[in-house]
Amino acid sequence: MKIELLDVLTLDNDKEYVVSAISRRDNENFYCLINKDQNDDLIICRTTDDETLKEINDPELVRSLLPEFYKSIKDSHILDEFNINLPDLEENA
Amino acid sequence: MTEQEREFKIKMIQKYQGDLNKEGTQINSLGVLGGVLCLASGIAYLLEYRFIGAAILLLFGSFSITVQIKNLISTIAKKAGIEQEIERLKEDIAVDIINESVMDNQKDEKVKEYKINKIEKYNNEISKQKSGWSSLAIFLGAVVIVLGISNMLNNDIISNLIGATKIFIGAGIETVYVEKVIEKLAKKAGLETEVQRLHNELEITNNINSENYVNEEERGHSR
Repeated sequence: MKIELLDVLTLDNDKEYVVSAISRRDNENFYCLINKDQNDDLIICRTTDDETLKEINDPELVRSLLPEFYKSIKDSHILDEFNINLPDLEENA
Repeated sequence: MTEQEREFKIKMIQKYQGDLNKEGTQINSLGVLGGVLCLASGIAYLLEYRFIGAAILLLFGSFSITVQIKNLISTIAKKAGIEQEIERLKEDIAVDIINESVMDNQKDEKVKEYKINKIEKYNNEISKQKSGWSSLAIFLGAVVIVLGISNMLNNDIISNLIGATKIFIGAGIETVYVEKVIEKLAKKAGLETEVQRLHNELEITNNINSENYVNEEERGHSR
C-alpha cells in the first residue's frame, strides 16, 4: 500500500487528511498531511511501512524536508489542469 | 530530538477520485488542490522565495488569467537579484495607490507627502481605522509585491491583476487558510521568527491600504 499525493488518509483519530506533500528517503517516507475539515491541522510524519505514521516535530528535520515537499508538489503535475506550472526553487533562488 | 510519541495508524486509505471535469466534484477538487497549492506557496515563502510564493498565491485566486500570471512568473524567474528591488517596488506601488485613491488636485501633494515621510512614518491612527486588514496582511503583502513586479514589467496587465486581487479578497476564507498553513508550517520548522518578520514587513502594506481606505472615505465625503 503505497501512499501517493492527494490520497485521503483516515487516521485512527477518525479524521481525514489529504496527503499534500511527500518526501521519500531510502527506506523511509515523510508526508505532510492536511486535515480536510480543519485547515490548520497539519501533520508532518514519517513511516517505514505506510501503515503506521509517527508525527515529527524536529525543526531541523522539518526544514530539511521543505524543499523536497515543494518538489513533490511541483513534480506531481496535479496542477497542469489549470495550466499552472510551479517554479523551480533552485533556478529562482 | 523533539519528536512526539504520537503515532497514527491508517485505518483506511482512499484514493482521491475527484474528476475535475465533472460538475459537482469540481469544488471539492479545487478545494483539495488549493490546499496543496497553498502549501507549496507557504513552503516557497518560508524558503525565502517570496516572489514565487506571492505569485502562486495570486495565481490560486485568479484562474481566469492564469496564462498571464504564468507568463509573469516566468519573466520574474528569469530576473536575477529581484529581491533587492523590494524597497523600490514598495515605493512605486505606494505612489500608484496614492494616485488612484486621491483626487487629481491632491495627487502631487500626496505623493510628495509620502516621499517625505516614507511609508514607515504613516501613523498608527490611520491603520487602526482599517484594522480589519490585519488578518489579510500576508495576502495583501503578496499582492502588493506581485502588483509591484507587474508594474515594473508590464503596466498593461495591472488592471487584470487588480481584478484578480478583488476576486481573491472576496474569497476571504482562502486567505485565512493560507495564513494558517504558513504559520503552522513555520512553527513546525522552528521558523516562528520568520513569520513575525513577515508580519512586521507587511505592516507597511497594511498602512498603505489603510491610507487608501481613508482617502476613499475622504473622497466620498467630498462628493
